[in-house]
Amino acid sequence: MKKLMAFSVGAAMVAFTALANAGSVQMTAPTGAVVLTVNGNIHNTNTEGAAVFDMAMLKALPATTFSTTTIWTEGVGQFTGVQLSDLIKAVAAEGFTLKATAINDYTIEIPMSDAIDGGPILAYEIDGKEMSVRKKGPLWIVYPYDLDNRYQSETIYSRSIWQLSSIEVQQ
Amino acid sequence: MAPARSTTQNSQTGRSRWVSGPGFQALTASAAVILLLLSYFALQVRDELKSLESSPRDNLHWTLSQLEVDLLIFIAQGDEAIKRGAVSLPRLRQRFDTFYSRVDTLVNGDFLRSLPQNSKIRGSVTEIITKLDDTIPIIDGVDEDLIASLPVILDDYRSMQPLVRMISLEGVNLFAKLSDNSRKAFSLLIVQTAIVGAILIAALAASFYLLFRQYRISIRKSDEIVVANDRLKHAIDASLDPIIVTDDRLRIVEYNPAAARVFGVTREQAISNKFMDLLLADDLTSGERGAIVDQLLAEDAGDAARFETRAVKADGTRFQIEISVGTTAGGIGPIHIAYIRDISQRIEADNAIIAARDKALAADKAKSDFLTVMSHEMRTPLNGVMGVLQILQDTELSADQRHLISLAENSGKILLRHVNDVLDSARIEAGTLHFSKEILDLPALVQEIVDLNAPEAARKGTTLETRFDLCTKTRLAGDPVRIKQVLLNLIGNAIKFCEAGRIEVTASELQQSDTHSLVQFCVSDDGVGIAPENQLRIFDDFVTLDSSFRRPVMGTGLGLGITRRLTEAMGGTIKLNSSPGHGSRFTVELPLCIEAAPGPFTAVANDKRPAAVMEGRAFDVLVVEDNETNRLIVSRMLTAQGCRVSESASGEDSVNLAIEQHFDLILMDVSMPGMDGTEACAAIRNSSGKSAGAPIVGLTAHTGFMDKEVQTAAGFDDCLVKPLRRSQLVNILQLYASGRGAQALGPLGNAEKTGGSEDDLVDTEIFGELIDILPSETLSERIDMFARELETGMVDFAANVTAGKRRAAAEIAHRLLGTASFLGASPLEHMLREIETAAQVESTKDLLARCVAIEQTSPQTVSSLRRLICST
Repeated sequence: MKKLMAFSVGAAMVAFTALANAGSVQMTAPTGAVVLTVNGNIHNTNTEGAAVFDMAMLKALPATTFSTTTIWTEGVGQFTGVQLSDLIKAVAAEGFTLKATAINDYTIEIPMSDAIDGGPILAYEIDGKEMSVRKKGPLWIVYPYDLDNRYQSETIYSRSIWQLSSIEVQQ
Repeated sequence: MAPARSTTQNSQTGRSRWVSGPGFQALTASAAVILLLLSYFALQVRDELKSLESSPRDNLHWTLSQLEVDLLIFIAQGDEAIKRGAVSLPRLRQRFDTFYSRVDTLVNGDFLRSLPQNSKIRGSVTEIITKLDDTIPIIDGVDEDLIASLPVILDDYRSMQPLVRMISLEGVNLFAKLSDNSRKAFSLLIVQTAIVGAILIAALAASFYLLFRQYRISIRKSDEIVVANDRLKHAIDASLDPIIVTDDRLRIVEYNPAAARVFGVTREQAISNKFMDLLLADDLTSGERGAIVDQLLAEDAGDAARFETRAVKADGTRFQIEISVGTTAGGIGPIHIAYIRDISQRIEADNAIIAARDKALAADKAKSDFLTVMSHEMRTPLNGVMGVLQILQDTELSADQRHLISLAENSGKILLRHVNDVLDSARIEAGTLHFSKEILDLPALVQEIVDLNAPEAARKGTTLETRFDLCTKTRLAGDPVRIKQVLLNLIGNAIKFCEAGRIEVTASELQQSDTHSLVQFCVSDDGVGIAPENQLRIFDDFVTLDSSFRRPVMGTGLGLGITRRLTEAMGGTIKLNSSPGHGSRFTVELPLCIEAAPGPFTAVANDKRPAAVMEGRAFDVLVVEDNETNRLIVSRMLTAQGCRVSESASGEDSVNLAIEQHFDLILMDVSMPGMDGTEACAAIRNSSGKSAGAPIVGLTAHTGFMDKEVQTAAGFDDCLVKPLRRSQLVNILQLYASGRGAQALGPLGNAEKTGGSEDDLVDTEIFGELIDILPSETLSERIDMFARELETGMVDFAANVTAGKRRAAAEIAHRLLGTASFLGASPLEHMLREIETAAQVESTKDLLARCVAIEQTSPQTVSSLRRLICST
């Protein structure tokens, strides 16, 4: 667990450094249907005060894949998506809390410290297939539950938000 | 002080250190059980904690409550779509998907899987998802159809509401139950933990109590040990003998005051020093040191645990000590306890005792030797006295004188017998008596002794009878001389104590093995008998039972003692049956060798003796001797040499025989009653009979007759002195058989001029007697000494002669000839006697020539002497 903590602190540091050096960057605009909106305290945007992503843009970001069981699905599933940390980098977010909201109006706060390398991803594929809204798609924040029993707590389960639609970066 | 005690001590201290026996085992067992229980509970608690740490489910309350919310939102959205038309449809579809997803989560999630198969929720959820799946084609279909179907769908979904509510309520119940269970499990965990804690506390308390008890025991034991140590220390300190304790490297760890006193090394100097280097003598060899180290370090050295060695004091004085060692377990490694005693005084005392004993033994031996030599020396002059008495008897005497001489002769005979007895006794004692092994003719042997005693028995009116029960087929071997001596003593004894009685001598074989035959000789008489209390005593030396006899009988009291010793020396036994007034019966049992080779009996055929001189030749000898015993002996000696012997008891008789028969040699007793030897000799020479020219050798005990001129005047060719020695007889036989004249023979017919054979250098009779008398080692020493004396003596002699010191030279020769005479080296003696005389008169050159001759003869003589000892 100490390792994990160290990682998270390290990740936060990287985030800050990126912000300090990069400054504001104008991102390309989406061409397809918007699946995610990131707003709040971010530096990279492609619309007024927010960074919006279509599926192609997300898939253009570094992809991460891992296999794990979940308490909501049957058997081991192979999840592919963008690491939360990579997304934070991509939008040059600055803050300590990510407020995630789902299509079904579910809202949960994820501490920035969770966004580490080897941590949760914004999954857009399960077992190589995109996920429909009926199957918790199109975006689902999935933690590698089987990796660490810290990821098997109710808090983490509550942060595993599916049908994710937007993230607000808060101070 | 024994190692055993230290072992006991060891086991006691071993026991005191720990709680003993069953208590300790029970404690160990319960500790193990407690440990197991604790481990079990600890595992349980750990598992529970782990399961609390991670959660198998998320917040289902939320999911269940949102199920109804999502349904209601969908229905509301549906109502709006009916009012506003197709504009609201995307929103409606999204709400359907959301609701669907919610139900799907229930269907596929862990929650439903954890419910029992017959649960109401399971059925309801399945019913809902089926309905949703049925709706999907319409939802995903074209907008117009959806709007058209919407009222029906919404009614349908409204009717689903109680079902959804029921699921929520059931969920609540379920969760209530689950959290109840989990609370119970948790409280059980708390109880378990409490129990573990309680047990731990109890175990700690028990351990504390035990430790406390052990502490008290150890305090008490250590007090006891202090007292015991104190007592032990006092005991060690009070010991008069040094006690030294070392560690395993033999460094001194304890050292008592006695040790300090004995060794002169203080305790401070001794402690931590090496025992071997500090206290043991530095002149011990490395082998001795190694052995001592081994003994000191041995766990249980057994007998070797007590040994003697040399120690050294601080001032360098070495002294003998005895060490006994014990090894025991010390605090750190084994310790070795050495109990030391200064035994130098004891060894001095021992040495003094040994010296005293040796002195006593030497004195006893000297006395015994003196007795032997004296007896031997006495016998020679005694024989002379006896000879003179015999000669005196042959002269003209009055009846009174004759009686006196007869008395003197009797006394002389008794004296001679006593001397012989003492000599025999001494010889047996000294172990110098050797037994020959000759084929025996037992009946002849016994008969000879009986015949010898017959005259004396007859004089007392006692009859002597013999009886034999012997197997004639076996040839037995033994020492005839000694067997005869035994029988002679017993028969003589019987005659002595019998007046007009009857004596029976029997010889019978009792039993036979392959190699030996047990022969029993019995001498029974009907004389005075011997009282029971004296029956054992009479076999001791110097025992005479004078008081019990009617008349005093002279004797040394050695006779039966010698008989017993001879019998025992031959491996036999002797016993006596007697009752006073009814006679005595002496029984001797002797094991005699059986000689396997068959052949005719040849009595007195000693294989040690040289072959008979006349073997295979016809050589007739006439023996003229009035004394029956003497005649018998001379005849036997001649027969043994292969001569044909004729006997004659008187002068007259002999003359007749000599006239009638040819004899190659006549042995003539000089003094005989009636016609004496001289007269008979003259008569034979003057006759013209067949033996008129035969050599006639006189037999005499009279040394006066040794004069050659006297002999020649009387017509004798030669003369032999009585008692006859075999060697002299043999010499005479050899001389006359070879046809050499009387002139060649010396006065005693001895061997000095025969030369050649090495026996001629030594008078075997004289030397033989020396062999009999003296132990061979003593004799060897004398011969060695003689050899050295001869060597240096002759060198000195020559030097003195050259220097003109003739008297000194003569003295040397005289000293040497004395020894030569003693050893029977007659030729050497003769040469030395000549050189002694010549030393005063002859030239230096001649004397030196004699020296060379003596120096040549000396080594031969010495080697002859040595050979004779070896051959005995």
